[in-house]
This record gives sequence, structure tokens and C-alpha cells, in this order.
Amino acid sequence: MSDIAKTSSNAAGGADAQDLAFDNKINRLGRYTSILALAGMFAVPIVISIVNGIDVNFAEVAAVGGSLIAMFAPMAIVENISYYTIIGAGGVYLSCITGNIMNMKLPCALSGMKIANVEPGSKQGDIISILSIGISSLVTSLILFLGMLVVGEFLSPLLSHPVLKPGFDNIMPALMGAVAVPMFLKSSKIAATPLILSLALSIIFGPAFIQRYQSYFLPVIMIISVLAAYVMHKKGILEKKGA
Amino acid sequence: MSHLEVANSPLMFILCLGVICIVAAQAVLFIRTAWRRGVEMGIEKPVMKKAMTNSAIFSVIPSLPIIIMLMVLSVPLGKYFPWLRLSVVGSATYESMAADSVAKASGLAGINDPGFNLPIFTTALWVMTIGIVWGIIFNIFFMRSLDKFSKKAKASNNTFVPIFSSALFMGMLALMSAPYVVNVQNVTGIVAFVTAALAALLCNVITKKTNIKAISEFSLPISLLIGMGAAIAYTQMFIA
Repeated sequence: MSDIAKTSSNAAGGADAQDLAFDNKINRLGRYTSILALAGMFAVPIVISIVNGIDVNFAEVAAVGGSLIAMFAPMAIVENISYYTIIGAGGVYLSCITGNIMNMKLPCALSGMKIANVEPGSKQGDIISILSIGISSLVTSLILFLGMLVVGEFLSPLLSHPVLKPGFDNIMPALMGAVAVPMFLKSSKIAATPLILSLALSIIFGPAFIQRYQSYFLPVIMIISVLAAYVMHKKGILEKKGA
Repeated sequence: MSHLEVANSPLMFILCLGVICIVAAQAVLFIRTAWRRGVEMGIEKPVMKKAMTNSAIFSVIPSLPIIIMLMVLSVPLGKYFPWLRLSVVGSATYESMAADSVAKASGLAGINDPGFNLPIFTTALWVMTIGIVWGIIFNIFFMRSLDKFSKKAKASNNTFVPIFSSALFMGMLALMSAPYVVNVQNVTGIVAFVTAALAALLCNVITKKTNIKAISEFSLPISLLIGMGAAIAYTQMFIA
């Protein structure tokens, strides 16, 4: 960091040291709770196998698990890095454990940042995304707990009612429309390149293919988007507003 | 013992509840830490509260279809394990796929095959767990370094940093949206996308004109419901 910038942020009450302390705290908390959650998750098959005296055929577990790992592990890594840039470390620790990132965690973090009027990837953005994602996790847990207990039996026929079904089937497109379009319009110059590219890819390969391999297309599009923005930035196309 | 007896046993409930409690505690600890830091940084408390309220209300809608998945998976796997998996990491697609591939590897037609027994169920528990944990393992080992590296890069740089974040973000939104926009197989989806987008834009305009804050705070759940409503209306009018 340049000396000038350092002085100015130190003037704001040692912000650097506090930022660092917070980052360390979040990473420590993230690691410990992740290890704990992991242990709990593995306790389920371990205890069930032992208590019921089942000789687990690990060769079979490895054979079936192997193909899932080959598919999901690289995807998980690529996704985590991509998500990190938007919801920050805290957001990734949380949403990685509770899942439903695309359809819930990401939109609610984004919408929280919009309400708070802070940018994704900024320090303030990271705070808001932890708050939004944390609450979202708690709400989902609560709803599923109720669903598991009793409500599910009553709610299930209603939710899969033929009249309502198209609504629930199309949560994702509705969500993307509501989240993405206003953002595209706000940053139209930056959005143009990735948008044209994604639309072209979706037309060429078909939407199903793109969605299936989304995790692999994601870093490519994100990198190209950054390169395009960098070129525009250098050429001064992104002067203040419209960026 | 049949696999369903094990799957619906109190032991299974306690094991699953344990993990869910850990995860809930994690969320609470993170919220507390972030809240304190937010106050320190000078983010106004009402602003943080608004973001949280919005998140709570919005999250209800996408959580509902997961209940259906829970009911579907409960038939072959009992109610507790799907409850755990859908509350934690799992997605509906992954869970059914993983369980299904175990059943198929054991020579069955699928998870609903009557031959599904306790050993196969146990294997499914193992496979479903092993397959899903990689993102968490990545976080445990590498997230700290990634965070440090990225913070350093951001600190050293200048005017490009906000543009950089914004570009990554636009890239992600573009790739996530595009398939829905061009999917002519599912016109209902396009209707939902466009209507929800218009609703969100309208919410922005109304907020600016009238200064009614509630509309901007709840614009996401409002637009989502309008989009879903449009999908239902379109189906009723043109398909059903």
C-alpha cells in the first residue's frame, strides 16, 4: 500500500489493523466451525455403521464415491473461488456448509448489499454478505426442521399443486431476472462483454449444456469479463458513472 | 433391522440434529462477529437490520420447494438423513443422484427399488457424505491463503479494484442468467425472468419517486413472487 493511502486509512482509527484482526477472526472461526461440521457429517455414517455392525465395503464406496468426487470436487473448488470474489471469505465459509448458493445465498447477499448500498467485494460488502447469508441459513434450517416434523405433509401437496407448480419450477429464472437485470443496467458497460458472450454460448451449446457445466464456464467468463473491463478502464471508457 | 427402521431411529435423529446445531451455531457466531465489525466500521445498525430482515423474508420462498424434495427423498432414505442433507451442503439434485448411483452400483433399479436394504443404505450414507465435502475441505485448507492473497492484491491496487470486483460479478450474473433468457424450451421461464426483471426495475423507480423505503427493502421477494405469479398466469392462459 502506498504511504499516502496508509496514512489516510490510519487516520480513520487504525482501520488496517482492525481489518486484519477481523479477517483473522473470520478465517479462524470459519476453519474451526468447518472442521466441526465435517466431523459431525462423518459421524453419521460412522456411528450408523458401527452401531448396526455393518461391514462397510469401502471398495464399493470408493468406486461409487470416486466418480462423484471426480465430478463435484473440481466444481466445488472453482465455485468457491468464484463466489469468494463476490461474497467474501465469511460468506463462502457459511454458504459452503449450508448449500443452496445459487438459488438463495448469493441473491440474498446481493440484495442485502444493494439495500445497504455497498459494493460486492468491498469490506462493507463482506460484512453485509455474512449477515444476509447467516440469516438465510438459519431461516432455511428452521423451515426444513418444520417441514421434517409436520408441515411437510400438509405443505407438500399444496406446493406441488398443478396450478402453483409452474411458479415453483421457475424460481430460478424469476430470481435471476430480479437480481441480474437491474445490476446489468446499472453497470451496462462492464456487463456488456460477459453478457454477449454468455448469450452466444447459451445459443450455440444450448442452455442445458451451459447449466450443466456452469462451474467450468464460470471462471472463463469471469476472467474474460475482467480483461474486457481492464481494457475499458485503461482506455478511459469507464469514467465514473456507468461503470 | 430394515434400513428404514435405522433411518428413522432416534439415534439417526440425534446424529443429524447434532450437525444442524453446529451449523446453526456457526451462522450465529458469524452474524455476531460481522455485526460487531459492522458497527465498528460505522455501518448503521438499521441498515444491517434491513439487510437481515430482507434476507429472512426472501429466503422463505426458495426454501419451500426443498420441502418437496425432502418428502420425495424421505420415502427411500427415511426422514432424518434427507433433512440433514438438505439443511446442510446438499442440493436436491446432488442428493438424489448420489443415492441413486449407490443403488445402481448395487444392482438395483434405483433408490426406490424394494431391494434397497441396510448395507446399501449405509453405503449411501458414506458415498453421499464423501462426495459433498470438498468445498468445505477446500475452505479449511486454502480459504485463509486465498483471502490473504486477495486482500493484499486489493490493498496494493488503485482505481481498478472496484471495477475488478464489478467485472467478476457481472460475469457471474451473465452466465447464470443467459441460459434462462434463451431457453425457448421453457417459455414460462423466460416469462418469469422478464416479469421479475420488470418488477425489480419498477420497484426501483417507485422507491425513487415516492421514497417508500419498504419497497426497496423488499424488492427482491416482491419481484420474485411477481415473476412466479407470471409463470403461473402464463401457464394457465397458454399452456394448461
